[in-house]
Amino acid sequence: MEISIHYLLKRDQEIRGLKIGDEKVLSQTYHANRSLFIAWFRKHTRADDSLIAEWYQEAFFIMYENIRTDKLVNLDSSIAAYLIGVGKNLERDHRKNGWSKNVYTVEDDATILEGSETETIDPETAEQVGNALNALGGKCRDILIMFYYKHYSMEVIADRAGLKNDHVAKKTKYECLKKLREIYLRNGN
Amino acid sequence: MEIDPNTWEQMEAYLDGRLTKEDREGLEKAMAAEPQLQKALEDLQALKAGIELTGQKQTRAQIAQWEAQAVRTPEKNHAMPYLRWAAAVLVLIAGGYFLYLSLAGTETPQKQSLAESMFTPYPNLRAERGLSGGTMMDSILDLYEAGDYGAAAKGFTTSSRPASESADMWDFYKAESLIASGEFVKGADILSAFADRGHALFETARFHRALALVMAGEKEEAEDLLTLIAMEKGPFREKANAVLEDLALSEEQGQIGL
Repeated sequence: MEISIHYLLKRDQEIRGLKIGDEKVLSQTYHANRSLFIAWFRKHTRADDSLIAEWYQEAFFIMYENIRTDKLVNLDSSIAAYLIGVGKNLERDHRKNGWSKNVYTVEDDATILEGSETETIDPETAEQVGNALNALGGKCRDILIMFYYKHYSMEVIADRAGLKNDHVAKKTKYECLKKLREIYLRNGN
Repeated sequence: MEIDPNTWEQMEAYLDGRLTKEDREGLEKAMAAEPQLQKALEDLQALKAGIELTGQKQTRAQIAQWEAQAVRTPEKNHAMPYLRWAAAVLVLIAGGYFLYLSLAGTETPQKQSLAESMFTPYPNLRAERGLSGGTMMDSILDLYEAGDYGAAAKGFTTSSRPASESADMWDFYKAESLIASGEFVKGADILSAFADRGHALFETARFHRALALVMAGEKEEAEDLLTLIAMEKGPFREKANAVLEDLALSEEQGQIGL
């Protein structure tokens, strides 16, 4: 029997939704795959549910990051199977590290993803930029995150930020970056 | 020093490795001559990396929120209360309908699961390759080929395998006959012996065993096996994914009583 077109389309839509950061798709995908992931690791490991839930969150984060940075373009398995695959690597790492919880902290983020394109900066600088972004606030912060983190096009940014068009979005992004740099420099950098 | 939008854009392209050799060298020359330009590039690099880390923190916070929702709302309770009432009414109506049909002596067509519709007994390779030689196994396989899987299963089960027949072929077709005639567990048990990855029938036996387990209602074992198949780059990967999705869908429908 051939795989149904409906099934393939549904999965393609899911990947596209994850790529453009559609929150509804992301949330649905998170909830839809959680129980299978937890059941699989309950059966195959001795880990308790809270640890398995931590692996799931981490696996989902890694999947999202890989889709966001175009490292994962074509998913030719189910999302659940992919997540379990990532989870198995996390489980192996945790086992090596003595099953400790919270192995990963935000400061380690730049080193979690193998081959991550994230520029490695020291935690202090990252915190300063984070503080500057918070001080910048509102729409500007969202625009910069949409452009530099989510890699949205100017058209999408204009749409999401309620700006007239992509030219206005581009100009606004420049102004926001300029402001961010001013705050960052004002804080002694 | 005020950096104009075009220079920012050029510096971004420089950091992303998108500049031509000529433009890259031009910018490097300008930065060597103007330290403030070099400082601006370093700032841009730090800002980009900082924004990315902030984005990652936001994603983690969002995931933590979903996790909290999942813990607060176990899957079984996802259905809204009115949906559960609606499901109960549907169950009553369906129950009445089936009761009516059974009293009326009418046969109801059963909905085939995806696993059932995917299971097709393996072709009789001996006949296809013209190797049929009128042996006892060939007689049983004639029944198999005619679609009388129950009789074929009985033939394989009640007869002793002649020494001249390959044990693998005998067991494999016996398992296929059993599954096709509804003896799912027995068939699955026999197929579990085909565990050698080098065996020509390994992939088929593993997938058919998974389907048999689904049909036998051994959902957990079936899901494990299907997940394994779905994670490997074998010929049944897509089909295993589809069955997994079908199982998840059936479970959701079961939870709201459909």
